[in-house]
Amino acid sequence: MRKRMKWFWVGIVFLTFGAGTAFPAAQAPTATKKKEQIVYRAMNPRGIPEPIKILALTPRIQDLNGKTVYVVNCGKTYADEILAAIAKLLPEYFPRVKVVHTGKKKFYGEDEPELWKEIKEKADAVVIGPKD
Amino acid sequence: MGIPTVGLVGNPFIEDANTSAFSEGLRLRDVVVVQPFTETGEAAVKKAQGVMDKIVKGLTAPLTQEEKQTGLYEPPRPPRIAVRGTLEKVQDYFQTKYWADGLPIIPPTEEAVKKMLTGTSHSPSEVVGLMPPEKWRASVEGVAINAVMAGCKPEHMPVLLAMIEAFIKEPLFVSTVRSTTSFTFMVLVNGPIAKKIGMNADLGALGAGPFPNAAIGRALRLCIINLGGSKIGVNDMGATGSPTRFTFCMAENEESSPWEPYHVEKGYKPEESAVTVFTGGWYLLSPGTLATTDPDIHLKNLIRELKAIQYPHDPAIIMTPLLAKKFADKGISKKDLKKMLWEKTTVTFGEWWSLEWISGFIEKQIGLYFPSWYADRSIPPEKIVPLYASADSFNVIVAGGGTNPFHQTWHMARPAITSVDKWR
Repeated sequence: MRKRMKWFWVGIVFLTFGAGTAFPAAQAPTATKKKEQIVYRAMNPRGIPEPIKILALTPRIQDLNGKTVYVVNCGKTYADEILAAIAKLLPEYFPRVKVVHTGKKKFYGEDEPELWKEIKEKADAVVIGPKD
Repeated sequence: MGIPTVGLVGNPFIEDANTSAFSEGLRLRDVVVVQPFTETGEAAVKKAQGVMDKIVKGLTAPLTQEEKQTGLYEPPRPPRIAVRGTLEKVQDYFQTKYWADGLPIIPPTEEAVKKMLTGTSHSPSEVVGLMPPEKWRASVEGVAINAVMAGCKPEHMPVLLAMIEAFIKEPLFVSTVRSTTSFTFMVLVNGPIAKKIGMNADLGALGAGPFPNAAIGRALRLCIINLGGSKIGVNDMGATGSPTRFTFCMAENEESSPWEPYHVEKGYKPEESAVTVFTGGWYLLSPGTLATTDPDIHLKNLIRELKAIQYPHDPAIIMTPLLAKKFADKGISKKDLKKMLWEKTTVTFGEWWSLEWISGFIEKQIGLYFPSWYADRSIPPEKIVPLYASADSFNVIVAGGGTNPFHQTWHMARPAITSVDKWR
């Protein structure tokens, strides 16, 4: 009897210990499973572009002889020598072209309506830069 | 204008040029020129010769069918929910799409954004303005979404909306946000709201810490990226970038300052709150000097720093209360200090005209920013002239704590100030 009781209690201890170690293991898959189930619905952070009216490119003039071409610096004085060279080279392609080498007097970030007005009135074609 | 045109575009800027033109509905016949455009003499001629055939072709070749097309292009509206997924998936999505700044974001769920919007009485659909660089519509809700991402709280919303309004209203920012010079944007908050929302104006005011400063500054960059469409290599051409582009936001230490706050100087009442956005940041000079009691030594340091800034515009001088008090104890008001700095930061007229940024930049601002007399080249080159346009060029801000009388001198320009209170 005593021996039986002794083994009974050993069994109880064994079962208790075993259940205790199995418990976290049983829990772990559930905890991982819970973590995987968190789903975020993230809103779009982007701004809304405005509708764009697309313009056709202005038709070209095939022969610039007799025409006026403005070579324009858009406000970055360091590019003037390249633009001056372009202005000088154009007559090699069209001997009777009139070239006006000019540029913005204002800072490149400021508008200069008077220059655009002059170009609109006098230019048949424009080379403008630098875009950098 | 209806005139056949060819543009000359530097090779790193092709995508920028195309995107900008398209956003205005324009088609281009650009000729690509290998950067830079600064060649002189024979090198300039050679570069021009290299592109002449293409220039002539661009001016004269008949239009293609595509170039003749017109119409209305309606960009697709972005879906309301961008992505569903785990935290990791959301992070990857936002970073891969270039919708974030490289740091983890707080996922902007509808619940989080709804909560953020409780910080303002303005309607979510209200448009704050057209956000540079691409001038996309920035709504109150859009600001709230990016605010969640940045880690802001609802009570920050009036400051955030005012910050975005200030950013949008200054025309120069359209250019500086794109520039190769890696401009940053510094945000200054004044008035009672700073303390109310827990901003740090004391020790470490410009740096990292568990205060709203970092999140608010970060929200500006995220709004530039997402509401403005900024992207490195497309329309953000900053050659080096800047660490202050992650976040750069402070509150003025009005409590400890002996002078009137910055926003009061600009016409606001002390009980009003305001946000100022500055652009610049490519020079920072700070002496980390000894705790001298002599304000004259600090003044000499300031003058030396202001002279070192190549592009003299609207520098921000951020000084700790201890330094401000040193000046104030000598009877020097903020106005006095600014006048002294202007009068003492001088160069010869010849040196002024030899500034590196004079050609194409500073000279074109004579009459606009600098007084007209600077254009008078008959003035003897040895005449001593102020380097800066006026005493009002200097933005003196008191921020930081009482550990030492330090200051920082930042190259800055074009401060844009706006009211916070109307955005509550």
